[in-house]
Amino acid sequence: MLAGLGASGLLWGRPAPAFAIPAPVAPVAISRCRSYAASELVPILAAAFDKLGGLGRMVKGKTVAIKLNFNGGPTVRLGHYPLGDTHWPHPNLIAATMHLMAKAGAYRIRLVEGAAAPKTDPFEEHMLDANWNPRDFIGAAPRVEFENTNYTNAAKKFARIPVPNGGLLFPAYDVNRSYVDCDVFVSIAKYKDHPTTGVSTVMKNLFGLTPLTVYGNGAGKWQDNDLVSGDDRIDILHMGARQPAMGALPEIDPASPRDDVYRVPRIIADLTAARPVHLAILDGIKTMAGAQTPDPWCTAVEPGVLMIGTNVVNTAAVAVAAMNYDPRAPKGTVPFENCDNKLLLAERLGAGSADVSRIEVIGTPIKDALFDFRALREKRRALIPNGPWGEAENRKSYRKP
Amino acid sequence: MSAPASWIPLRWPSAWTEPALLGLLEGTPFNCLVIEWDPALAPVAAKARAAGLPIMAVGSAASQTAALAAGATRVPVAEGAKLPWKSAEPVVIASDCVWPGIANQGDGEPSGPTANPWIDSNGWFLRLAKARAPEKVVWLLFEPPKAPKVVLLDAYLRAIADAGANGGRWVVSLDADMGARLRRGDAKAQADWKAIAGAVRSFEQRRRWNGLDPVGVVGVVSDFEGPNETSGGELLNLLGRRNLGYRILEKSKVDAASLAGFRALIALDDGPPAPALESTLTAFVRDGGLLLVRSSWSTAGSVPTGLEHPRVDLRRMGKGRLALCKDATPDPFMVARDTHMLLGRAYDVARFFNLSAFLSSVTASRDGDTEVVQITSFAIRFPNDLATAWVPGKYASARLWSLGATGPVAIETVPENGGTSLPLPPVPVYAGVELSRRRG
Repeated sequence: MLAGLGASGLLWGRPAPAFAIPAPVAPVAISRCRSYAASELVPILAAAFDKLGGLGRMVKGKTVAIKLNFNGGPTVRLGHYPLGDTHWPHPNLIAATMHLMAKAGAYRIRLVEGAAAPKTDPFEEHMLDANWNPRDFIGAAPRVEFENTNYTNAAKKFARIPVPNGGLLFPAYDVNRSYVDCDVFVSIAKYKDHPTTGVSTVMKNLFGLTPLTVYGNGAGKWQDNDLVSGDDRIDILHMGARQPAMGALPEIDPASPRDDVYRVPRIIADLTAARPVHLAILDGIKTMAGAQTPDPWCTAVEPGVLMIGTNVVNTAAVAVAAMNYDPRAPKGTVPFENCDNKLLLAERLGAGSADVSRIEVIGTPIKDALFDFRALREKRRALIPNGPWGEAENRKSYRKP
Repeated sequence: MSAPASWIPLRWPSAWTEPALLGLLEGTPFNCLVIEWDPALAPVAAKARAAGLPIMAVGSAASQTAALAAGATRVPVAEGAKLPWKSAEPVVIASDCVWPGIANQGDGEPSGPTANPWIDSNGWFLRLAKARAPEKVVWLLFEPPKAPKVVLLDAYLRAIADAGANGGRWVVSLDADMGARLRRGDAKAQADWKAIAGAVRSFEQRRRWNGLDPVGVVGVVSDFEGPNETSGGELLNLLGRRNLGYRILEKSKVDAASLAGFRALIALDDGPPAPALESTLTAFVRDGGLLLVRSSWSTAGSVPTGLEHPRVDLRRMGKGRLALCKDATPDPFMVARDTHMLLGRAYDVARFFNLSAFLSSVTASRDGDTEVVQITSFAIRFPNDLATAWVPGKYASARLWSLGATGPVAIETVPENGGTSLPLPPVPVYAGVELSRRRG
């Protein structure tokens, strides 16, 4: 299988491993849920966890790290919508998850994210800036910690997570130790469109594992300067204009394409394989279509679904199918018009199957959870032909320098 | 002639020598001319006097003398720090003001230390003036940028809003191009003139807001004089840039009672504090407050917290915290941000969304029934860029005032995070929201 991949260009520049890696499958629970009110959310969430075998077997006595998905700045909203209604996972969903984990015996829950905030700003302040109340999380479980993973913090150094079998773009990534020093790793995110990689779900969330101090535009320039914030990863990760800082390993092939539609899907696939997710929670109660951060062309939508799985690729694949996209679509077709399909890349690294026909869906069938992101995408394309979802040249003009 | 406090000034362009141009004032709120004397203006002055319009003289001593001889009135004009705050003058004019807007640092990068745009504003000075002499009306004397810079209407409106939102009056001054076009009856200039007059009128209609008190739990303790004049002013400016609600505490007036309601104090004046002040501020810390001071402050009775911080030695004292700036001359930008983060955003008096380069002011009535949130935006916004403001209190009704609008419009109050969210339309220059605990 991988030999064929090499020929297709998916593993461009990399010799294909001589063995096939099985792509695991695990059930994904889909639940209808119309609101974030605790009275509706908590029982639905609890039932979904039960359908997957129960939280207790997974978290009892364990340290849990929940990777949030804070795309963009905390003060940027789509229209007047609070961030949890459009592009950040809703705080009530996070708190409800923590509450149920605590009830199931979790020893410690750590909320982790690479928040674009200076080092001296406590992570909780970033939440307050978004008009969230960290006390909602502190009160949800007995031992709650917050960690801005852009910095080494108390550990004083980053941990290196190698990509099994060598990686597609980097052989290993340096990350905050919280991603390693946990027994259970959770990815919680909305499902949305994404200009660079087609869709953004629980897999794309993992891109944020990469600390800005190592992979951000200012990396290598400001380890000791806690002022710089709000930076992004365009230079190093998206465009490959230079190599990571702070002693992180350089990419495998500096001659590979310097194009984010090639690079970012591979980095996401690498990270999916390097840091396995134990629990993927997809917030589809309310979200937005059009991009991963608010842009003028985005639309707030209310699909009214929750999806939970124990394999992040499987969960992402089911979510993409429920967006009325094909999770196995090749590059050049919707929703991967310009980019490689990161789900297939991750599948081929052995992280999980993107084949929904192989994945058991528990609860609401995909057809009943379907929300037509594809139709909205086509509508946007008709209205704004030069948007970032269009031809490659248009997309390049959209892309940040 | 009306009382000086109600005079609304226009700086009369020196090229407007035709008395007929006084007709431009019809239908506008301007009722006072500020003139730098030129003999050619004598017919204008005569007609203005006849119409009952007061004339203020500015400029050199000679021109002021000449203007006074022609019937003008003298008003104290000086740099802000030198104004006679303790005099009986009802109106004072500050001459060292900035043209409000995103500052160009000269290197092509209009930005501050965090790459956020640096904003020039006179708002902090007006707040300081109000703390020093609340009964006085403060006028700001500054002119638009000169050619080749082009001054757009929005820039005028921002200059008016920057003063008006902080209780002052800009002596509206037209750039040469605008003055010339208005003089010859250019239609676009007339439309802009109408908008400028409308903006000034809009603030005059809401002068009652100037009686409200600033909201905030951070106090800045200083005499704002001598070695503390620049640093103290800059600290106020930068606290405002973070939209961190602060109140000014004149050092000589600080006592235990005046500190009620504060959660954090910044006292960075040069030299050792007077024993009484030190004692009062120490008691504030022991009672649970946060005090940011210079490194020379006594650490007696405090213990390290162990927090690793590049700029602050944070110590526990009683129920509170003492933060000693490690740098002998603390950077006001850092002081503002460190104070905000050590105190925590939980004490924010407002939060704002989809606004970037902007300044805000939050004031309230003593009974707490009314709160006013004012926003002056300095950035160019997309027309569909809806903004949101959030305040921690619960309010039953809200009214939005926009520049040039004939009156307020009711806006929704949405419960969010224990407070009230205010969905606003795009804010191209200014928005003022009056919140009430009673149903509107």
